[in-house]
Amino acid sequence: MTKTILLVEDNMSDEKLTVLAFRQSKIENEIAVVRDGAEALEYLLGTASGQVTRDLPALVLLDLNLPRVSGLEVLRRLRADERTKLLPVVILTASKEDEDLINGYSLGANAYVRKPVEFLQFVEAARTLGLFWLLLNERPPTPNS
Amino acid sequence: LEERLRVLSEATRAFAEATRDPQALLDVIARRLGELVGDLCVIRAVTEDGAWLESTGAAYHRNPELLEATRQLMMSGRQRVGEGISGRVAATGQAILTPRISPAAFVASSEPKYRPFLEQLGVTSSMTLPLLCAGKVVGVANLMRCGRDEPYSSADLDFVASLAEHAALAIGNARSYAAERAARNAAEKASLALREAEIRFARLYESGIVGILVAHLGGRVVEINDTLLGIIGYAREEVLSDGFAWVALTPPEYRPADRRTVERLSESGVGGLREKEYIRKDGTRAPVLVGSAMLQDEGTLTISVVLDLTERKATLALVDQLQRDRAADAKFRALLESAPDAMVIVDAEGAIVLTNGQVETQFGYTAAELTGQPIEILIPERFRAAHPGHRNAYFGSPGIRPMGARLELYGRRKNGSEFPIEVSLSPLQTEDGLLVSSTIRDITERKQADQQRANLAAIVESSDDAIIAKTLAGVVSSWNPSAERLFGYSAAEIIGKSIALIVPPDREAQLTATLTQVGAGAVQHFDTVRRRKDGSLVDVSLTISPVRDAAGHVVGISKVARDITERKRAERELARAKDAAEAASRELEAFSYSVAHDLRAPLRGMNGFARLLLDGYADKFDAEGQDWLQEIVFNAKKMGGLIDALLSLSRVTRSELRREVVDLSAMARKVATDLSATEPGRSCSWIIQDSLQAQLDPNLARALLENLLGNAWKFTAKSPAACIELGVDERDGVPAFRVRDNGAGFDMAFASKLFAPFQRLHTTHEFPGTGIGLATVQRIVSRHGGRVWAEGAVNMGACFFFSLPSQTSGASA
Repeated sequence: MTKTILLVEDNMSDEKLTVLAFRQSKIENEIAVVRDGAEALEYLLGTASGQVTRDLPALVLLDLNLPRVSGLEVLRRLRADERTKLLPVVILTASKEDEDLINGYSLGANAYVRKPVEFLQFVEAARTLGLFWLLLNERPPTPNS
Repeated sequence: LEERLRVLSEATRAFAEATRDPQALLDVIARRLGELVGDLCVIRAVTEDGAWLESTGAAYHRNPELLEATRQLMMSGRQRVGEGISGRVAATGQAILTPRISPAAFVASSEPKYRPFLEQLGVTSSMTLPLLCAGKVVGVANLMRCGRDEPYSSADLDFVASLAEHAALAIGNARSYAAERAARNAAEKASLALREAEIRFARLYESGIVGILVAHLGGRVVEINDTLLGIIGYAREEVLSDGFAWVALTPPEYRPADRRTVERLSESGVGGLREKEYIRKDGTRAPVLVGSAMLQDEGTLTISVVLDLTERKATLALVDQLQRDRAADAKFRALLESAPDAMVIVDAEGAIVLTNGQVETQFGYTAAELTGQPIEILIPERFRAAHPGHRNAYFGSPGIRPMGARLELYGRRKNGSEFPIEVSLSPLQTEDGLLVSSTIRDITERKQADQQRANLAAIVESSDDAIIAKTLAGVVSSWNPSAERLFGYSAAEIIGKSIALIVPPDREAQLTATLTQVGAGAVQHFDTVRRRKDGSLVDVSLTISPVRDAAGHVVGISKVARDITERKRAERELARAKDAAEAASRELEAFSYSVAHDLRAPLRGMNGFARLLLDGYADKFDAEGQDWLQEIVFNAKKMGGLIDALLSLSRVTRSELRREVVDLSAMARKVATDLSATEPGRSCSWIIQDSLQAQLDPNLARALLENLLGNAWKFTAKSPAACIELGVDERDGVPAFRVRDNGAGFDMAFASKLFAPFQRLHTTHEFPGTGIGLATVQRIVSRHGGRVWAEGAVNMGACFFFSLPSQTSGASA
């Protein structure tokens, strides 16, 4: 059990901005970054052959529009897996489409945050996310613990 | 004594005269005995059978009163022989003399009914004598002495007895005389009766009414009258000759009955009546009624009475014939009346002889009005002149045939109107000569039906659709020109063949199913493909209906086929266009999505990093550099706003419309509250009418109000007493919702630009905005089929209207 945040983001600018937004919000947790859905699944569930070696992150920030495996597919697979079905996943995306929102929540997303263009708003969003998911929220007992 | 002798001689004389009148003799004797022997004398005769003393007789008393009383007593009733003194004397024939009688004792001993009389009489002596004639008591004489004591002596008795002999003789003679005369009368009567019977018989015998035959049972004729000879046609000599066999006159079939009659005659003497026939001399038969009886109790002679029935039989036959004729006539009448058509029978002169009820119905004349009239009365005037010629030609060569074949025939009613008819003629050979029976059928309805059929046929012939009739088994029975054009088969080629000819092989199962369903009465309507004669396929729209007979049974199938090649082509083009539009729409969606995600990401970078420079590296930039960084931040943010507005506009266009009743008033208040919350320092009065409702998609309705009220909110920002109002007016008969404000307003010259995207009438610096809001409003309203417009003037505020199709909006009462 770490306080690591896993950021699933293919856009490098967004990755930097996201990390900066967390840092400016004084959230110093380690932020692990993966670039697409496949990497995210490998990070969280391990490869088909091997076992997961590292601990699950405290929070997953999941973009939807991802190369190889889409964000929604990642979420579906995580919720289907006994180990990750209760893992906090916040969808962090540019889309404000109703369809994405509905699909996201239907598949078991814990929150849905739209990335604002205005950086100051993004910083505020990151701060709120961090506060809530990393400090205030009581996590369910993890199967591993 | 002298007196008595004188009386005797007188009596004797009187007797001689008294033979014819015994009563007078008895009266004389009674008077003489009464006078000479005294006092009462009663003489009564005994009936022929000797059983009674008759109540009549003779009596005498010198006192008329007593005489009358005596007669009364006598007449009160006859006296039985053997009873009383007189009865005893009558029974025995011995006289009784009672010389002395005590009158009182006599009264007491007598019957009560005689007592008063006897008291008055005062009998003192009595004698009673029989009147004997040929040894037979024919009467009794009573003598009584009354009121004086002078008993009868035997001398008195002798005297009376001698007179009584005379009286008896007189009675006897009178009786003999009467008997003889009665016998003579009877004989005379009998001979008279016989003579009368003979006369009657002779009258009958010669009357010529009945035949009379006297013959032996064996058949030998003894006597025969002229009448019977006339019946059988033989002469008397022939019949009476020895060799004549009477039996041979009876035809063999009647002989068993004759033999039975002979048996009855022998048994009972009477043969009864029977009908039979005689064979006349000329061989013909004579129907007769015969009654026979034995002429005598013994012997073999019979008498027969023969009635000639020839005339009667002829009459009966005639009556029978008449009845049959009448029945036949009635039958003919009934036949005539039962005919569904008008029937008129005319004679050779063309005069109407007989008509039936249908004639009356069709022509309006009664039978009486027509009988005897020329048949031409039923023909329109313009044809009358020529008709007798046709009529005579028909009588010249009569036969059963329709009249005026291929001609239009018309009947003329009594009221002058005409109607089309069909006439068939047939000759009728009758006793009254040749008649012609014409059967007249009113074909008005048939003509109309023919016309209707012709009209329908013309429609079918000229129809652009192929119209085909077929049997339940699918055999083509009718094929119109359009069917020829559509399928390439001529009517001659395909009629009588199966409709399967035009069905592509892969659709044969469909054909079978359709025939079954339509055969069961269902109308089928569907689009399919059929095969032309040249093998090419054609798209057709088929309507296949059952054809029913008058009873409602499906007897055939009608099929209307429309060439829908063009329509199918148009449909295919439409489908292609739709596919293209859908593809474009999908592209637009993909574009929108990428706009949302991919175009925003660089903006976020630009804004984010510019902001980071301003935050972390402000000291490295002078005022102008910092201002430019601010511009980057501002422009990136503005572009984000534009993208969001574009996305929302496209969402308005793309989203599915879901209409429901929306409470616009409540929704507007909520929007107003939200707007007020964005700038708590502003004062604005919201006037929102209650109970505004419309049928709208709730999401779009909200976007609509957000844009309109948001606009008003934005453009009243600089108004000191801002007022925003939502209400409803009526424009062109439909409710028009309005959002009015007292803000910046606009120049009506630019009103047309208001609703175009990215068109702005104010600078961003005056009033910020994307230029998408009113375009969104217009899309929302037009998607609901409504209309949006605006009124306003610069600095005088603006009023935006939107109306929706009727029945979908308004203020609820």
